[in-house]
Amino acid sequence: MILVIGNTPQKVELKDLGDYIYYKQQKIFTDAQYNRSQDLQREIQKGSLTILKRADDKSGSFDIPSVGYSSVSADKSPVMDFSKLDTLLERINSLEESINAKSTLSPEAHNDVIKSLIEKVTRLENGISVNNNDPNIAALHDAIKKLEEKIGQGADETVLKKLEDILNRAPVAASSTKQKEEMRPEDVYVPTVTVEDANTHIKLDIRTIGGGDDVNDSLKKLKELKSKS
Amino acid sequence: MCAVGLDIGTCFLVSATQDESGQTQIKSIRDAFIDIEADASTINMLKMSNVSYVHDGNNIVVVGESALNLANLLKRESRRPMSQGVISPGERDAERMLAILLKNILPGPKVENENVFFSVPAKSVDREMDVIYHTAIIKKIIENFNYKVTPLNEAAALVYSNASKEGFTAMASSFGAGSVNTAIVYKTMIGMAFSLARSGDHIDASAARAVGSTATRMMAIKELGVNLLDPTEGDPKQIREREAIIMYYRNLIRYVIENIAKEFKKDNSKIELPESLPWILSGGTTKCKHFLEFFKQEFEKEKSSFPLKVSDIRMASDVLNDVAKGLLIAAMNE
Repeated sequence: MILVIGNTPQKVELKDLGDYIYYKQQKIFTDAQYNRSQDLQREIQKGSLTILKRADDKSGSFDIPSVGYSSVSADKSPVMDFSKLDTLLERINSLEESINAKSTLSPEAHNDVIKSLIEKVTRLENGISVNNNDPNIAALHDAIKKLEEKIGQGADETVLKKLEDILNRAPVAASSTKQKEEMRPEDVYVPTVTVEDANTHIKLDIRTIGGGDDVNDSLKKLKELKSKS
Repeated sequence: MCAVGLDIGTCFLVSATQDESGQTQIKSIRDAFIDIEADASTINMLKMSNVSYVHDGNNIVVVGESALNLANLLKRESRRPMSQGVISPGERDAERMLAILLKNILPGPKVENENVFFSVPAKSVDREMDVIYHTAIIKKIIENFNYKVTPLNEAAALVYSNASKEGFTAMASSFGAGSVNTAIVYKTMIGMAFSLARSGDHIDASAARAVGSTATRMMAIKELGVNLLDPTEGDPKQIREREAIIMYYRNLIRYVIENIAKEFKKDNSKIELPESLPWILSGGTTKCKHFLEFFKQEFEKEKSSFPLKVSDIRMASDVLNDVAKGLLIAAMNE
């Protein structure tokens, strides 16, 4: 059994396993999967995947660390691929739909959904740990929150604990959409544009207008409104 | 009272001021330009003609309506500093040309800290566009002319100029060249605002593709006057073009109505509104014949599922200038 981590901002496709590994995502593969997957072996050789842990299949299992791990090769690529998070959000939304339809799922299928959720939550944690100021995280945060409500008592306690931990760790992320909306033009770098040197010969269309709400009348009413409020 | 309302549109820059007798004065220029080789005979010819131009270093840049005419003559595309409601990201001279045009259209402050309110689009729901950068660069350019500068949503400005009798509470949609801006305003407070990156230019481009023509030609046919209720009105040789234009007008109106419904459903919990409110339509794209009737026909089809009760739909009093007028009112109120 091996635990691998995605090392490139681009997702790594393992065609022969019908699987993907995203940047900083950790995934467990059995020895049998490893032995039969040329794609997995090739990507490990190329360095786009790194083995974090190896264990005998029969010796039990190991947990996927959620946060705080470090990997030399991952640290070489600190740039987060946020398109990945968009994809993830889409996947979570579709998961939400699945959960909405859980009454039609068998208990096994429901467990699969929950397992899948654990995986996605792990990826989210990685995303949040990289940059919890990104507005995408806020959307993801909202998605998790919705999921938390949806799955309610149907989910494993561990999952709920994980969700709670993430929500607690991401207070900045929760307000990041608001921050984006409140970003002011003063916060943006803009070049200085000088036009004094331009020799202009511009003829404007100039006219005096009337009709409609008269400007003075509208202004008077506006002042009245403002004085009342 | 010294103040300026400045509508920065994809097609036109329009400023509104009040003269000493309290009359509203409008200045406008088409924000288009084209560069030509600067030789002595060209410069002489330009000086004698009524053409607006800028002698910029080694270049001659023809600006305004003349740029469009010259582009047609030279079979070239005119360049535009604005695209889809914001400063054109792909035009390298956009900032400088816009600054030159703005310097000319603004009268220069008569008092210290004179207010300029300028129009900005709302965030687009169907296209990634940088409204913050757009706002920042325009603000900086105008501040360099020693004004006190404030951005205001384009559609909200229409409510200032057209809904005083409703206590500045209305929904307004501004159909510009590059985008449609919609705002729901309650007593001057913007409850909801968004823009759609489809409008007049989109109609021109779509109709051109449909009939195998060019967008510029479709724009020319559109500006000659298309009767939206009767495509047969006009030159019989251009009936296909007019039919295509009408079809894309219908698509645009439906798209706007659908998106308003969608956005309102998303946001309605945040908006305090009266039982019903008027809907004000404006912008150069509404200048086609019978736009209002055509719009109402389309709205009737969607009315039953539309989430807002609309008391009446009406055109702004002056569809090309009312954004600037509204901005002037807001600026004078400061």
